[in-house]
Amino acid sequence: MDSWFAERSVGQMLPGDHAWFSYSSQEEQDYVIGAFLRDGLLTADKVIYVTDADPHELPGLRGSDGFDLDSYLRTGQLAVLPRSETCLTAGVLDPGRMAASFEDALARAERDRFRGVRITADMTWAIRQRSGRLRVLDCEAGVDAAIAPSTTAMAICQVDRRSCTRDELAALKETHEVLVGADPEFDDGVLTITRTFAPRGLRLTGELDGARHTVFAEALHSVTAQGGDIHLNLRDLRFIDLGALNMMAGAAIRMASRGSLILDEPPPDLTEVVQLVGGPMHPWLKIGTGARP
Amino acid sequence: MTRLLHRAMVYADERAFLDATIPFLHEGLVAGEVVLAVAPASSLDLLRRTLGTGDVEFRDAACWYAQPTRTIAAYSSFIDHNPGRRLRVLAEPGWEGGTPAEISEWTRYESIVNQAFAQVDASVLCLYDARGTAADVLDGALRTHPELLGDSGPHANAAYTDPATVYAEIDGRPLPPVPPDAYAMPVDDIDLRRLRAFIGDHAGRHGISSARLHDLLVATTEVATNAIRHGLPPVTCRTWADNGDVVVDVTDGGHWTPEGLPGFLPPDPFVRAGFGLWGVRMLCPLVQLRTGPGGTDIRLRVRTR
Repeated sequence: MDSWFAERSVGQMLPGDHAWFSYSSQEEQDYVIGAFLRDGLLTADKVIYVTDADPHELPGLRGSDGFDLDSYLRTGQLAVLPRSETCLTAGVLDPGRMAASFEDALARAERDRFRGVRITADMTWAIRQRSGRLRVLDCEAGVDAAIAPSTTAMAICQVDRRSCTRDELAALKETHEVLVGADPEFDDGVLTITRTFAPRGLRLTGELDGARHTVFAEALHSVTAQGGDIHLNLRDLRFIDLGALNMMAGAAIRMASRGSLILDEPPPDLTEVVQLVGGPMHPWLKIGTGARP
Repeated sequence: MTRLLHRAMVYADERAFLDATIPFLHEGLVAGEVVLAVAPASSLDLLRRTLGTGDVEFRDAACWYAQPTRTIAAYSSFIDHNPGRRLRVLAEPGWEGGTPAEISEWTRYESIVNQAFAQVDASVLCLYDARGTAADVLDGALRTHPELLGDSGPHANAAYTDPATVYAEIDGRPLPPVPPDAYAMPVDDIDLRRLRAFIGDHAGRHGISSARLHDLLVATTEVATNAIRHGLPPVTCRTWADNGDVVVDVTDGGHWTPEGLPGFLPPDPFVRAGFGLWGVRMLCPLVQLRTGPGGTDIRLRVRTR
């Protein structure tokens, strides 16, 4: 990872952050963008989404229970702006217009005395237009100029990484200082459990022993319930007890007909333990490299 | 009805070793059995030279017999990999001696074989070299093999002792007292980070390697977790160095009555009960368990390298 990028979870974003988010599944987009939108609405930020989608189909807010989307739309706290009104000229992405729209939206939100402003747009469609990559890069520079000096606004530019080439992703990443990812499902300063989407699974950081078996069991259950291969990234797990390893073996056996449970990048000491006591649990518990599928 | 044939032979020279082992292995090959020879490197060399490479699987005893629970796991895995086949095993552990506690645990191991593998269709011939084996090791071998192979062939062993009696004798011996310079820490919380820091701190002073310390931390965490969850307070952890090893002792006030062979046999992956204590025994070369109305005491010992 290049050192001049800051990596933050979506809940840790700060005013002035112009963040980059590349997703590899709708599930990942729902998880991260949903948190960005919901957190904003619940803390009385103005939330702006540039999209042609129906407001009821926004990522992470689709069919969410107990969330009165219409009232947020009515009061104007949530604004869903069509592309034609914000960033298109003759059907093509117009970087200048997009930057102007963002500045206008920020000024209006300030006038309306919102505490903060959150803006997001999925740029995947624009990259696929003719000379889209250059236009999107131009656009990012404009957005950066609007957001970076702000003490109230934050923005996330989204891209579906499945529709982009490696070069396009690298070029886009360079125009953002902040990479945003999922909020941890659990974090008490000792153990952090974070969902991962490419590969699908959990990242465990810190120490896991009997004091945190319950939260781990819940996270493991929710991620393995959907089927398919599940990866547990253990690179930054300093300690795991036999009880938690046993829970992993149990999950691996339960899901065996639908996929494998793979332990990615375990530290050398942990690899030794898994190989020693995991013997009878084989072939259910596998050790992997953590590579993207 | 027991299907396992578990025989011992004490030999005094190379001639006697070959006279017993070569026909034993040949017989298995002719009968189409799966034939395994586990022995120290010198014996393996001798067997290979005399027998040729053939279909015998050779394993080095230095690795196979590193610690009892790993040995049981290795045989279990060998059995599982050869379903429906008759097995023939030549086993020369090559233990020359050890502390009384280590010798007791190897004696227990030989006794467990009779119980745990009773229904395995196998002939096992265990060899002990009279020239370099401590008297206590030989004594243990003589009490744990139902048959002995002598000059005049196999015969029933009058000194054979029922496994339950062997276990009870070993478990009835009190553990050596905790030395006065041991460090102690009360354990009253299931969050065991402080306990691991305490163990890491003291074991670190004795130059323990990162891998052995990790084994010890995983094992100590498991034992302390069980004491907190299933035992009764007070739970106390003590640690000290002994003869180049690091020892950790965990006591609690509960009266635990273990059943069967606690933690000696690999857990059934589909049940996974008993995984914890088995894992502890896999990680630590010596695990001693004493239970009674006065409380439960589990003592772990790891090498520093």
